[in-house]
Amino acid sequence: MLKVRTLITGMLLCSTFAISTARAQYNRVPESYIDPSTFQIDEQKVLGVKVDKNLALIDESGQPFTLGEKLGKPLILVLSYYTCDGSCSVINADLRDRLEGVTDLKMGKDFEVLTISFDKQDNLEKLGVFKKHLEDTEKLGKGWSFATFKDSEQIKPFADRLGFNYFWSPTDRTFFHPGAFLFLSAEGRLIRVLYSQTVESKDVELAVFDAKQGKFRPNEIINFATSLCYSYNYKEGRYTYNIPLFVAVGSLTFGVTAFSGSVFVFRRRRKEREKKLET
Amino acid sequence: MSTATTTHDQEAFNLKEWIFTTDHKRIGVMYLIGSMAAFAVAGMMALMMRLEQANIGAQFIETGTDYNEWLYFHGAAMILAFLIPGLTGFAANYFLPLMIGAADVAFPRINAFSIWLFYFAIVLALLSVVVPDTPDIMWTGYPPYAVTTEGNTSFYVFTVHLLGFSSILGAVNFLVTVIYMRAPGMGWNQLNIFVWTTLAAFVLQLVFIPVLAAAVTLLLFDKYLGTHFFDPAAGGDVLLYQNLFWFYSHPAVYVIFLPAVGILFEIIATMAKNQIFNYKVCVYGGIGGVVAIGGEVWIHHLYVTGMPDWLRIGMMISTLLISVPVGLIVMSLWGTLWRAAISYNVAMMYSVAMLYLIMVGGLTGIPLAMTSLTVHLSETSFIHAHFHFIMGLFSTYAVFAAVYYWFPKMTGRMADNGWARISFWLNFIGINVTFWPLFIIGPQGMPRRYWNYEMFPQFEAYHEVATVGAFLTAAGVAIMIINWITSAISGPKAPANPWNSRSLEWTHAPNPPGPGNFPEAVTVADDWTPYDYNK
Repeated sequence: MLKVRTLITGMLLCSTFAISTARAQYNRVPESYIDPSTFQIDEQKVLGVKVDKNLALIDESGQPFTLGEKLGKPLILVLSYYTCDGSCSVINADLRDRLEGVTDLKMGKDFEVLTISFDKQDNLEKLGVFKKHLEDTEKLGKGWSFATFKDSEQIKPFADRLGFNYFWSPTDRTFFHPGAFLFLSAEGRLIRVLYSQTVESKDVELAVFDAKQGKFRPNEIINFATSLCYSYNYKEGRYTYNIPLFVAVGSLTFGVTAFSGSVFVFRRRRKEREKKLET
Repeated sequence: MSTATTTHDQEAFNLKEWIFTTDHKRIGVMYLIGSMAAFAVAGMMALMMRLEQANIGAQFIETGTDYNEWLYFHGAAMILAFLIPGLTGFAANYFLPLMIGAADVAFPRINAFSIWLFYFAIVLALLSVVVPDTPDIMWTGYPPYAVTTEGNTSFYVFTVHLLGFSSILGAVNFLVTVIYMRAPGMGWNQLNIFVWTTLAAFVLQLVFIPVLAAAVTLLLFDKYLGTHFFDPAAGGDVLLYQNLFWFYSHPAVYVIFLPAVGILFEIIATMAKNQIFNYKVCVYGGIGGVVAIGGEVWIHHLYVTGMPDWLRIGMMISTLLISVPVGLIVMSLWGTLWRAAISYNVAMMYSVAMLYLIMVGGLTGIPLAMTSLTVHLSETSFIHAHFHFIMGLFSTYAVFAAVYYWFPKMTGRMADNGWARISFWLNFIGINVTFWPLFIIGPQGMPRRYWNYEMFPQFEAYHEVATVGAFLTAAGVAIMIINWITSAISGPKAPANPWNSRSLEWTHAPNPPGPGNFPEAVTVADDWTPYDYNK
């Protein structure tokens, strides 16, 4: 009897442990788990925010400058880190490839690109290596700069203000961060966010045009008109045709067509009547 | 002058004949009846809103949605079902062919079809008040609310479709009529100003109304078919709807304003027995200018939305610029009264009131054209009062004035002058008592479209006064409508040309005109004008 009782008790305990272990496994955050929201910037919250123009940065030659010096025209901001052996190079290379397809706007003249490292460990040497791996940015024209923060204490507040979340994963020995291009207006307002995986050259061009905020030169009027044909699709993260505008423009012809048709019918009837009267 | 006697009023009333008529005059009368029905219900909604706002807190309202529903019907019915059909439907249908000496319109059957569409729209609009989930989207139907609301947006959309299609058919018909069916000898500079203004209104309708129809159709798709044309989260453009809406709806203000001005000219010239002052400047500079610029000012309704500065400032300039052609029109109106021996009958009293309304409405519009001032006045009761003066009241008075002026023409009888004057003074005092308080409290911060304003207790007395004014107006209008009906049935017989007008509808057609309008074909001399008073 004692044996049976001991056996049953033992089985119950084992079951309890088994269940507990299973629950623990189920609720355990896997080592490689990443919150997907890390890779997204909450545009509803941050679009329109203004960056600090006095933010102190160090350029690739070690000279200090402020973010405001890069403004005055639209700026594509890429937040990366220079020891990144994965996505950062790809993100910057993606942007370079997309910019190659931008024909109506010229980097340096119409807009600037600035890659800034958010890793406080980064220095000029690491920047140089990163830039070397990222070939051919110069062939697009002058206007793409690389920088680090002068004061590492400013990195986090700056990134937070733009809704740019990132964190260091000791397990993976890497930063997790969005692969985003941030389009700032000449005044430093965040106008558009595009993601490297989804964009085409046309999207980059339209985003730069959006960042111009209606301030375009007379010879860009066609570009402006073209930009009206698209609207940004937050769901897809790219620009799509603005169908209601096409429908509306098309509808403008309806009245004119109806009137022309009526004139035609009226004149034909009148002629027929006159012919009948003559005969 | 003709003395023909074959008239409609000698025939027994036959409902079937009225329903299936292709006679432009009967169609005009049917437009008047339908639009006045819409006006009556819209007026009741206005009274309910004023009663609700008379005091702070809920008076008899159950939810805020009720107020939205009244606002929807009042706005949509007043603009789409009363003012536009009242002026371009009733007045244009009845008087335009008579003024140009035409026997009918170019396409009588299409004209009949447009009145059917109009009545379908009126029935639909009236039904929308009694169905569950009444539309509550004002007359603008802005998304996302129009898409997310439980209100039946489809009623709004289909009413706009029917009225829009009816308007397009009417526009095509009257443009062809004026171009090809003028009396032999009648040149463009011999047209009545009303013909010009109606022509201009129809051009605007023809060009712009399909855009509204397209916009509301896409709105319908968004609400019922799950599309995202105006949903920014899925690539849609919510501000585009507002742009498309006002792209039509601001020109719609001129669609209403221009024929109203045309009526005013006809009455003033006749009662002053004067030629139109600066006819060509008025027509080509004034009316032509409004048509040319009227389509480029819609952004002033959207100043408080995001847009580039150049667009905002550009549209501010074009909005201010439109005061030039409007100024030319107003100068012609006042100039026509210069040194005139004016007969102050009721039609003329309404006309003088219109001169006052256009002055107040026009002057209060100038600050609203300026971007800096609009930011402060936008969505306040100042705007509410402004557009009621310049559009609602001015054009409503035009309909009333037109009915009094052409009452002998339409009915063959004279309207009772005593009751007409009493009703005029009641509603003229009423509108001023209603809307001046709103002009005063608007700049002080009273918002528009609030059924409860407990956060602004200092404005309660103004709302009480405004509510009294609304009821005075309603009493005046009720007396006027009763007077029309009783006078049409039993008023004294009208002389052939009671106002001694020189316009063809008075000189060549009997009261009321019979089928074919004129007993003999009309021709006019080279030097004839409808305002030949100085010869």
